[in-house]
Amino acid sequence: MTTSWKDTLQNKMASDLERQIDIFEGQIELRKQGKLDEKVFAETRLRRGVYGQRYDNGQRHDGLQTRTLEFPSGDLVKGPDTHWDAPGMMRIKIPYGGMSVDQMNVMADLAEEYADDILHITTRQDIQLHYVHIDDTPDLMRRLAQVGITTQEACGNSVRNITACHLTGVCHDEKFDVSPYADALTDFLLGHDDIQDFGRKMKIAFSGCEEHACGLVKMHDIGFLARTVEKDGQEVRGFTVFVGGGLGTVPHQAKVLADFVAEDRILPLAQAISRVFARHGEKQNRNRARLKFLVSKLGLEEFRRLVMEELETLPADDRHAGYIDELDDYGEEPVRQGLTLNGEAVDDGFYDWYRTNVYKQRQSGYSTITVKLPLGDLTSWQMRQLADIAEEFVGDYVRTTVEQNIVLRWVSDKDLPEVYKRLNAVGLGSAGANTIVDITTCPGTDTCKLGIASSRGLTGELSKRLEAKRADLPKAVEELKIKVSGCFNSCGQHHVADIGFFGNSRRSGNHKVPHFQVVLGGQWQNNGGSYGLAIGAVPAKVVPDVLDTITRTYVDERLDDENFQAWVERKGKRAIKDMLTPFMTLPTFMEAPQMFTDWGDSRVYSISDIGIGECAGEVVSLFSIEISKAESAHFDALIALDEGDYELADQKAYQAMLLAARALVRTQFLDVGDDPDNIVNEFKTRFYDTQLFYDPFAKGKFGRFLLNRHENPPQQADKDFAHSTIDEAQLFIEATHSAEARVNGVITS
Amino acid sequence: MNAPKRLRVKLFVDNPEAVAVEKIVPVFQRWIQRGAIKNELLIDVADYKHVHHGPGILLIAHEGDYAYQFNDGRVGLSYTLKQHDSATLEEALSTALQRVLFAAQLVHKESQLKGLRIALDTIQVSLLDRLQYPHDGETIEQAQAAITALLASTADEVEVTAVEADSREPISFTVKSAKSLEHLIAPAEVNAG
Repeated sequence: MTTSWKDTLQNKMASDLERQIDIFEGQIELRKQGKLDEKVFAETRLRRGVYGQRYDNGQRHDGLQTRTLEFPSGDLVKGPDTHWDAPGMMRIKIPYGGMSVDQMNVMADLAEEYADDILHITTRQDIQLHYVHIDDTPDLMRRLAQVGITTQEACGNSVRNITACHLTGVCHDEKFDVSPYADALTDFLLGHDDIQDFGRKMKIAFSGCEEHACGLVKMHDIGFLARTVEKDGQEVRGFTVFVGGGLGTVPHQAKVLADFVAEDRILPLAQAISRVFARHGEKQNRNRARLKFLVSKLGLEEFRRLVMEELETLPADDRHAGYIDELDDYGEEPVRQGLTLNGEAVDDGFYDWYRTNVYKQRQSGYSTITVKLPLGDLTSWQMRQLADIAEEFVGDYVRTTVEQNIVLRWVSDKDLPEVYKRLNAVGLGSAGANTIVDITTCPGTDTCKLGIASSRGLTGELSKRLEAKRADLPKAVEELKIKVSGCFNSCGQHHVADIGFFGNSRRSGNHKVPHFQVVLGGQWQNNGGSYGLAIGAVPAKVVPDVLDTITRTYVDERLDDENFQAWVERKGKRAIKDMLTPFMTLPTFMEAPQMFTDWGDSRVYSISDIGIGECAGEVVSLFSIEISKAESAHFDALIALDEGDYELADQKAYQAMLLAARALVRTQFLDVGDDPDNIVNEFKTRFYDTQLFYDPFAKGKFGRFLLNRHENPPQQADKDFAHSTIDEAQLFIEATHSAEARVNGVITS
Repeated sequence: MNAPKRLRVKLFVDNPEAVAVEKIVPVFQRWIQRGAIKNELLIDVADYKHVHHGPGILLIAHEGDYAYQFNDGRVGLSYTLKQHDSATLEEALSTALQRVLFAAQLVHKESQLKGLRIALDTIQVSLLDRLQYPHDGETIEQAQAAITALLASTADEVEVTAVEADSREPISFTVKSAKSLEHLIAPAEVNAG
């Protein structure tokens, strides 16, 4: 008997997630039928983590010419210039990187059944699956939801995955464990009305301490840095709150919005900031739409004033401080007793691995170990093996890191040799974590639509060369950090590395040559405390030689314990540029054809097939997003009617009208909420009684469909009644579109 | 039995030491340039050679993925059927086998891969569909019978053995044939539908 994941997993996940996924599946169907605008659909799928991928514009340069990829879907697109059948990327949100054993096992299955057998850890502690077909995404989401994972708002103009230091809770220097706060804010903001009308994405991070890299709060839109103060002899927990940081093309260091915000006030503060961002942030020019530009434009004082003003008018919400009572219950219980490592037999390589991959926790007898992943990748099989190791030795205390690794927390020191042996057996026991060989990279031209050069190809090559000489690297070099981005958008976080590279290109004759801009002296410590200096662009193929030159000169010239940042500053940009100038010369294609290919790619380089990025999401009005939900509900009503469930059909049609009315009301009054009485009341007062909703010919007829159905719910809906409500809902939705266009001065034809 | 959502067939390489894995990338890129496999939309090449026992080098196509891969620590050439209209397991397996055998022929003709030998008497079949093919005894038995029925013109020509594995892994079978598999299934660039 054929069954489906939808049937199999019905009622086995949170009802709101189940409903969201059903809605998305309906939207897929609507889009296929041409009943949902491509831009609106693009934004809705992005907000569910369903991303585009390179070549989904149907163009690919094969090294000889740009060819059209004839996808079977023909003209059907999942967004502007994005073919339906083109493989895409699924981003899975892992709040503060925390994963359970069950979740690891399910994600392993999904990578195998829907992607290319690879799980990729991102610099925001997410997990990405590549080469996924959009038709598979609803089932993929259901299987994730079954183990408590959502992809909602993983992309698009929304609050992205909230990150936190992977050592929080076990770190020696932190003020307190920030995990439950990151968790509470994630829950609170997920799907919140106040984050639905952003012009761009918003990134939030938590840090437990100031001096280490920790959560990198200074490069985030909102950063929460744990702090305690003494009040009446008691220690009070709270946070220093930063705003307006960010990398991207134009990096900004965050500014202190508030020196101390008590722990029970951070949720409303985040909500107030979101409201200010939604209301005052740029909506048209996506290049100026991040919060950092708004803070810069308004000035910190004015921004702060607006936030405080907003705070005072926020509707009361029990969730603002509801989680505080549960904080005492939060904690991690190790599955094994913390015992000292004391003469146990160890495999070859153990001590090298121990030196670089093991962090002694503040809790005696326990360590956190880093599983170093090449390019942030592991296979489904490896994920399952890692889940087994976790289950046996640490339980559910596994986290992804922003440096694209995975950590196992709460490993008993006595177990370290055995864990090392087990990791080694599955190819996960590489030493060198958190050193120069552990390079961070974004996907670049491999899969990203915006990639200009192959960041993964370069990282693979640098890793291979550095690994080969790792044992002989001077300590000063071993401690350096390298981060690589495929373009200027900084997904590889090149600004906060000692040595950063980002992809660009130059022309030589009639050919383009892949290049990397060299960025030196960024600071990973102090929460990404300062950004590096761009020195100049060098051809991709000479980057390994450039790296050798930089590190050799640094070792030769450094004074005593001078660190890399200090050396860069002392040496000066001009002298460093002079050092790199010999590498910048471009040969002709005839002289050195190998320079005209990128790392890991045999094709002659071209970016003629580059697409339009989706990081920014689509600039779609809040109304467009919300009315699409009404259209989805209407579609569900039609399905229910077909299936003979007339009660449900009537309910869905009524819900469609309510959602449409709500969408319209929210163009004037954001806080209308979800209560049907409130929605209908506000609709009546604002649009029906004022005749704004009136059709030039039908007058108030369509508006009365909702008012009547709301006032007079049926005792029992038969087929005719349900049919009638569905027809009315369709007309009501159309009338809502017209009313919105009239009210907001949009000319339609 | 219904066709699984995805199905992978893998031929094993006898002498992987004969060719460095780096040489596979330009070969797959050339296949795209030349349109070497008809009736499939060849899209891109993905390089995962850095991953232990991983998918290696993938030639991504719309209908399925070709891979020079290292799963289970054994080097092989595989084809993963992804988009298809096959109604039954037998149809899906037949399509995938024809395609992987055709790819093997292409590999054997590649001058850049000269000396690389792909064994044609053994194949691993994996059913990547935990909904229809859960890893349990009954399903394994049924699938084994279906695969045997497809491949065995006489019962003693092929031996289909279930691969013993962790129940979280997809169901897999090793098929050993007395003759080259090309005698049972003709290599072809077939349509999925």
